[in-house]
Amino acid sequence: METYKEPHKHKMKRFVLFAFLGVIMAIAAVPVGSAAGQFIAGNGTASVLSAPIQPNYALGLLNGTSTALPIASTGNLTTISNDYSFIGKNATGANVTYTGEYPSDMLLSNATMLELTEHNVNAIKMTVSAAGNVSVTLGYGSLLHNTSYRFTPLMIKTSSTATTHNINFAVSAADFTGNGSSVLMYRISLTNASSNPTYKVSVSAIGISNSAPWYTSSVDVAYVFAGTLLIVFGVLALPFHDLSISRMSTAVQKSARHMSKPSMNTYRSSKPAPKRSTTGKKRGGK
Amino acid sequence: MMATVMYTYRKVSRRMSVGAAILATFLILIEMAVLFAKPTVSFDGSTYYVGQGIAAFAILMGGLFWAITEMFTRAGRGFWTLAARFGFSFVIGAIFGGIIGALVHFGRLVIIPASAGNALAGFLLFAYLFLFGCIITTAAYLHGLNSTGKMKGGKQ
Repeated sequence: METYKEPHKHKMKRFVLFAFLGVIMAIAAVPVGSAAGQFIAGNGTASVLSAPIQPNYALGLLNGTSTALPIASTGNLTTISNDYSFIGKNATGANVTYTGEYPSDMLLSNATMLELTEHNVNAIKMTVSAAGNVSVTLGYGSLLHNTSYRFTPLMIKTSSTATTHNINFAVSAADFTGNGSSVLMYRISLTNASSNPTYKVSVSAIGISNSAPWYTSSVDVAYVFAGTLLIVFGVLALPFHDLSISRMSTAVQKSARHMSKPSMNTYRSSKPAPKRSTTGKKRGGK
Repeated sequence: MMATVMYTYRKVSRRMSVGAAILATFLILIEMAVLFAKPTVSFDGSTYYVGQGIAAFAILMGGLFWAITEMFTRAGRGFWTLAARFGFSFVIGAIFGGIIGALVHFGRLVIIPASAGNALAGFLLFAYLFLFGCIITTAAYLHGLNSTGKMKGGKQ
């Protein structure tokens, strides 16, 4: 049984070392893991999921109820009629358009989170042909019984006055590691919806065309790797048990000295090593 | 194994301050609530922030700074010693940690996937809570100990 008692100062050094290592691991592991798929597969520059990424459903909110309406999509271009604009109700029940908010359309695609992670999608590019300002909220969610929906926003981009808006979203694989059956959704807001009775939307996703399982799992590997290391670092940081890193290095030096020739030990200091507390003192001190 | 655990528990519980232990327990509860609650999102322009991701890192770094403060101070006695040490160091650490949490998008990368059903991201959250528990328990333990420096009467 080891009777070595680690000094308090060494325990504090060990605590600081492993606590900061844990913080660094919590910061860095998942971004590195989500980027690792790109590193493994080279740059993902292929256009993937060209059919399911298009808007296939529009959700209109009329008179306080929401109904899902299928919309026509020819090729990669989808024409959306502005009939699905959001219209609110005032206190007396009459329909009004919001003055503070602009009319917006909620569009659903057929691309699921699982497909997006399988292809390691790192960019989603949208082209919206409409006059005025356009604001697009990218997110994911699901349609519930064609009457209501669940929407979690991911990011918002706004394009200033133009007739054709190119809006690019830089996404990472970790953005899509949620519920695999949720689909990608777009919420499009137009400044002057009255001058745009219809507008056109085209979406393309940039990723890796051949989907192999180990491209996609790099983020999940990072979760497991970082989680295991956080637990290990937490145990190593605790000062309640004795552990000596300097004694380990001494043991390594001793074994190296034992195995090698004397001429190889010139790096050693000429001073004798300080005595450890294992030999003389008893545990507990006083 | 059991004897070692009981020995460690007796040794630690003899030295640990009661107030610091209560504070550590409440901090662990708050961190657990922050990590496993339903995330709330907010937008700053086109950037997307999860409030829980910022708060989780702020609490973690605040606890780490509190532990480092307790490392360099002698054994605390009374309420105001604990309040002053904890207050100042936790606020300074929380400012740093909040900046880190906002910059690295911890909430977007871990908390949102975990709440959406990714069990491996949930495992990372459990490990994060474990690391926080280790750090904050150490801080509470060090509150009852003298510093490592050459202070008179310090028990090394």
